[in-house]
Amino acid sequence: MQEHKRRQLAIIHKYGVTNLHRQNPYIVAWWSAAFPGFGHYMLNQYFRATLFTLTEVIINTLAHVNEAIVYTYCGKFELAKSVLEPRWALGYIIIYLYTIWNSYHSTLVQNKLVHLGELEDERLDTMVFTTSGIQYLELKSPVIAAIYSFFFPGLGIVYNHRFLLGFYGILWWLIYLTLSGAHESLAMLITGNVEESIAILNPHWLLFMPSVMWGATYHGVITAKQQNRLFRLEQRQFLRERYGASDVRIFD
Amino acid sequence: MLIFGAFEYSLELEEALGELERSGIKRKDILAIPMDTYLGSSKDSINEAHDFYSKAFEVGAACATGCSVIGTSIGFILNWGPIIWGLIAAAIGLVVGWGLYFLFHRKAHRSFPKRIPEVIIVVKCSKEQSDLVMEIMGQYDVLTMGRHIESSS
Repeated sequence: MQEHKRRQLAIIHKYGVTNLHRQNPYIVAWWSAAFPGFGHYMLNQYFRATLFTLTEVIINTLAHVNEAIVYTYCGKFELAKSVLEPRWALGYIIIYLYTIWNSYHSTLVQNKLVHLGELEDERLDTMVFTTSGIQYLELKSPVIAAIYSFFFPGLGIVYNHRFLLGFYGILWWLIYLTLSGAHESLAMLITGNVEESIAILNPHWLLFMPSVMWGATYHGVITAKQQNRLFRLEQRQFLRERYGASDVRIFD
Repeated sequence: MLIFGAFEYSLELEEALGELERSGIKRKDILAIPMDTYLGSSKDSINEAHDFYSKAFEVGAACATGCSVIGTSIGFILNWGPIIWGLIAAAIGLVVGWGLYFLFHRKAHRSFPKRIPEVIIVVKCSKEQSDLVMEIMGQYDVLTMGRHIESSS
């Protein structure tokens, strides 16, 4: 019978790695503010994070929050006021603040769980075979993850083996690209057609993109680093088990 | 005879150990010592709270996101448009965030070389085996290695 593990630091499963790690609660809270749900991705709470991101996109769209932000920064306060939909905006604020508070609070709890997990030092797995594929710990380059996630959010996450989240990101980036016109606009910019390149952009969908781009880049970097750390921890456990009873004596 | 090899944590390290055992070195004749740095167990740090570059990037990425949203918004009424201004603002945010973190934490920072010895492997073997042991280590990305020939007394 498999031994019961009480406080593990990580598991490997068919969709990648799910792990606990130490984080700065303010940074996690900030990602929740940048895009509700992102803080929960940093906390490895994938399902609720995904539901939060869907909630964000739906209510933001209904309340016209992004348009209001664009008008406000452009100094057109009257337009901002008129575009915002009060029916949805108040609910939006409450959920928005909840995700910030909740991710901040959960980080404090998870940091304690990491401490306990490190003290218990349960044996980590290094490889899992399932019918849908192989998953394993390996050393990852944070820089490569960052570059892929920056140019196409989601790819860096797939690179880190968390492919379900990665493809969810890719799907949304495709939706944003289509609805915002960002890549067409970029092509026009490169060919020197500046005015038309601005006219083609849809502010509502464009304004989701900076947060997604940077959130994905940050996620790529930290998950690569965490997985490297898990790889090292597991290898230390392995070396201790296999060579702990060594007969080698350097001084007799 | 004792052979010392310094490795990074890597799959190659395990390949080297496996090959050593297959070539006839007994498991009891191998000693593996994971090394610690002042940060903890390696440069990517067991204790992430002390990982300087991660923290600088954390602050940088957070500032980049915020600036990028503002830059994109204002870009709608500026000459070059939201995409360019979004990217420029992001770059400024990244540099400013990173720079501020660096300024405030410069003193706590000690840089590491890119590759550091993270595990020391010691192998006890006969004189005849020693070349083979070093050859295997060399094949699997050893950083540095050396041998100690015991004076026959």
